[in-house]
Amino acid sequence: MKTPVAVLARGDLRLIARDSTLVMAVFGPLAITILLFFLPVIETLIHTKFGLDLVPFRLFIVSFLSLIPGMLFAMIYGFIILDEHDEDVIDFISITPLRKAGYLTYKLIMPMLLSGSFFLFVIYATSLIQLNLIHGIGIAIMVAIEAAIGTLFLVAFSENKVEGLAFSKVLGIMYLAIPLVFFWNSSWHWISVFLPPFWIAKAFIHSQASSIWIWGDLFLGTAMHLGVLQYFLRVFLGRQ
Amino acid sequence: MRLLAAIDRDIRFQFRHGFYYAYLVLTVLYIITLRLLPENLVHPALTLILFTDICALGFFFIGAIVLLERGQNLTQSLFVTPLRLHEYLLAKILSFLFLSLLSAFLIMLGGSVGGQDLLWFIFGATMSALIYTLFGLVFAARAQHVNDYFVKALGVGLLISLPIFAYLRLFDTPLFHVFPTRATLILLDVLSTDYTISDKIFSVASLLIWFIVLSRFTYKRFDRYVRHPA
Repeated sequence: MKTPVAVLARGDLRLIARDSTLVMAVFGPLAITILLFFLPVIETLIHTKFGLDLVPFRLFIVSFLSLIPGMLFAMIYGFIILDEHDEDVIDFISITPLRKAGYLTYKLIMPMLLSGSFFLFVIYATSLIQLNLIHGIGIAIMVAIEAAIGTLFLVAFSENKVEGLAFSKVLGIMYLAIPLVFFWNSSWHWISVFLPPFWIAKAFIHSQASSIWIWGDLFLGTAMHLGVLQYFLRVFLGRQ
Repeated sequence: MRLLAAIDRDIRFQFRHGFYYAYLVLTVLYIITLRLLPENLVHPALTLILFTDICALGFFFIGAIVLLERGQNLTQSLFVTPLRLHEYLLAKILSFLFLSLLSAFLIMLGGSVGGQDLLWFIFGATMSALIYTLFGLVFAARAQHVNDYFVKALGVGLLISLPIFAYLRLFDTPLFHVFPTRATLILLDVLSTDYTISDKIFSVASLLIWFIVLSRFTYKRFDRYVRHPA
């Protein structure tokens, strides 16, 4: 007998393969990985062509780019949920043994797993920065929760896929926290403390500096991510 | 009259679905970014903002709009009214043009960015916005889901954006002259860079040709797959 999750996963895989979402799910993160693999070459090219030294910005580039696949997975699953919502699939599932909560759990776990593992793959396969493994896993957990936050952000406030798309434009603003943390040399950068990527940027910086504050970033950052996730979850379930 | 009513309907629809709010936030952020950048980077940044986002916003949104309208059988109902297919399509591209130009104008005003050859620039921004939405419509006609639309549209979108490498002076080939994006980048960049008159005329001609070709192609696709689906 098949479990409801297995049936859902098979359905999603068929959907992904049929409408070529797979291409985007693979191509986007793959493009980022290739870009990061060639980062040293690109740095040299830009240095010779424009005299611009990007090496001091490497930590920023790596931390910023390593979060993009998470955003992509969040958007892919967000759009799948929105499509299914518009086609009333969610209403049908809510009367099956899986129920709405089971459906949502599955739809959130997938982008989380994909984002967390892709993050670790990108960081350790490219070896562009030396990141302590425990710190890396801690950041990967935040990256994973952030993907679920992204997915929920698209679906919690939108009536349909068109509104979801408008929200996806606003979702990108969340990642502004990273340049703010890296480049705003003032304590004013703390105004972005409520944007989840703020804590990831802080964790990257403190981990590289071997600062004790890394544990504060990981602990508070995960708590902040969980808080935001719970808020969006409540909004989404409250609206259904 | 029917066209104006259709444009009005589309603008209201976009407003109701939060596009104007989303672009208000983005416009403010772009203005802040332009104001923070050093003088020599302002114009290149403006060109890239317009090229990657503001002029291309129709391309980004049109897939979901057409999908939603098709899902709600709105397109079927629309075409039994006196509204003609070309009016439906024109309303779509002109309503997005309005949002693009409004946002571009506010960004330039807020960022105090101006420059030479303003007429060439306005023509470039207008035609680019129209062409990008038409590109989106070509794929929207047959897309099954939002992700499906993005895969197909973005694949081609990335391909036709290759002349960005020439703009960044990383790689160039005469083949790029065929791409509409080459013309877009030249005309969006005329504010601060001196291009030869032949470059500018070639870009205008290129955008006009692309517009005519894409308009006809989009009309055929919609006639076949949306107005008379099998």
